[in-house]
Amino acid sequence: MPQKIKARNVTYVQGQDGEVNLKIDHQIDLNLTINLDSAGGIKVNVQGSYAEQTEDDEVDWVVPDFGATTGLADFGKNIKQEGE
Amino acid sequence: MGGFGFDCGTYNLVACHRDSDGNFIHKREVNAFLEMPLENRFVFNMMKTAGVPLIERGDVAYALGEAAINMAYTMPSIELKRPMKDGCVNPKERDAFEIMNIMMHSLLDDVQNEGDLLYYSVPANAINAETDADYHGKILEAIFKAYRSKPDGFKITPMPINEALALVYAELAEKAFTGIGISFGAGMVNLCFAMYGAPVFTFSIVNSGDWIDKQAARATGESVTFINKEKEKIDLGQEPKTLVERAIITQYNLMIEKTVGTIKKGLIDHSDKKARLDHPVDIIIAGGTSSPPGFDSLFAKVLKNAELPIDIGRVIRPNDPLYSVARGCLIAAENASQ
Repeated sequence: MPQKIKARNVTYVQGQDGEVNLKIDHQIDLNLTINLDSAGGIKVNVQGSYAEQTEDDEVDWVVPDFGATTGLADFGKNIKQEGE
Repeated sequence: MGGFGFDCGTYNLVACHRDSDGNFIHKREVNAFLEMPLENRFVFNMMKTAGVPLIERGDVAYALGEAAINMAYTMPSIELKRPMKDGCVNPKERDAFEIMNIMMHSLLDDVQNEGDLLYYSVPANAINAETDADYHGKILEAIFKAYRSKPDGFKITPMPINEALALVYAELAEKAFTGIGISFGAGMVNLCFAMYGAPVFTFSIVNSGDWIDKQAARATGESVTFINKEKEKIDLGQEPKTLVERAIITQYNLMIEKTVGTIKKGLIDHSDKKARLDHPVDIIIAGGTSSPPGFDSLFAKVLKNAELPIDIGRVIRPNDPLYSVARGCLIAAENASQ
């Protein structure tokens, strides 16, 4: 799964028909293709090459901009309760 | 102490943190959206001016949260979309990941320290349907790991917690976190038997609030969105006055009976893990589907007749069943931060 791969610069691309591509590069140049079939099943295809990996590298998760947002400053109703 | 709790429900997204006085601050939104073609910019601009939460993407706009529900309720021809189904990310909704990402990040606007701990709720796998709770958990983890606060760019450290265990943390402190938590969400019923805060076993059951909506809509010819709204007004302790009320109350009865039957089966299946207790076990019930008045009495009555393999004490429903899981997640984060 992606979180086990120690690398930076994870990009996420929405493909056709539910196809999801996660591209991870920097220390590891790797492409994961995750296909969701109509029954909700998952197929993962991994292609890439190992370059160099260090212990302290962490996945830097980035979700690409999906679109321009508006009206989200007050998203969600605020409810306050006395603490215990 | 510090940190955040987040209940990632099929119908509700609830974030929880404490203010400087130690009070709980919850932020809730409906986990739903609708898609509109951007043919008519005038309508879109009016919605923008009215402060409707929106995403504009090419020739399509998305209305988010409660506003989407209200629009779908008023205009039945508009299809309401749900990023989650049966307690997990909806595999048939192609934009679910990005839209949940935007909605969940928008509820987290008070992160003020780098690496603040956030516990988020995840379901257990269902015993009556094929579910992939592990995959769902990883999707949520990816969303939280992609979060950056504004303007500082702080990240959060996300940790998963079973949603019914979170319920035990929120409501059973006086019982040394020992008892059974049952969370009635929209997609699933989640159960956890915990002893001193440690989960003895967990499981979930698919078919909860959404099932009631679907069945009652089928019985009355109304839309699922309409039934969902009407369900918020229902009192399970009262006699139904309309066809819709009768359908909703009947489906509630059926759902509770089926759920208690499946809980009994689940407890028998997990009997090898059953801890020895010398006193009856209290049950906490929460979640949006448990919100109607009379739900706790009805559940307790069905439970009593079911002859479960363990001694049951009180059935307790908190005053705020919609917020308990998120509060339990926060309590878990605070304990982990100590």
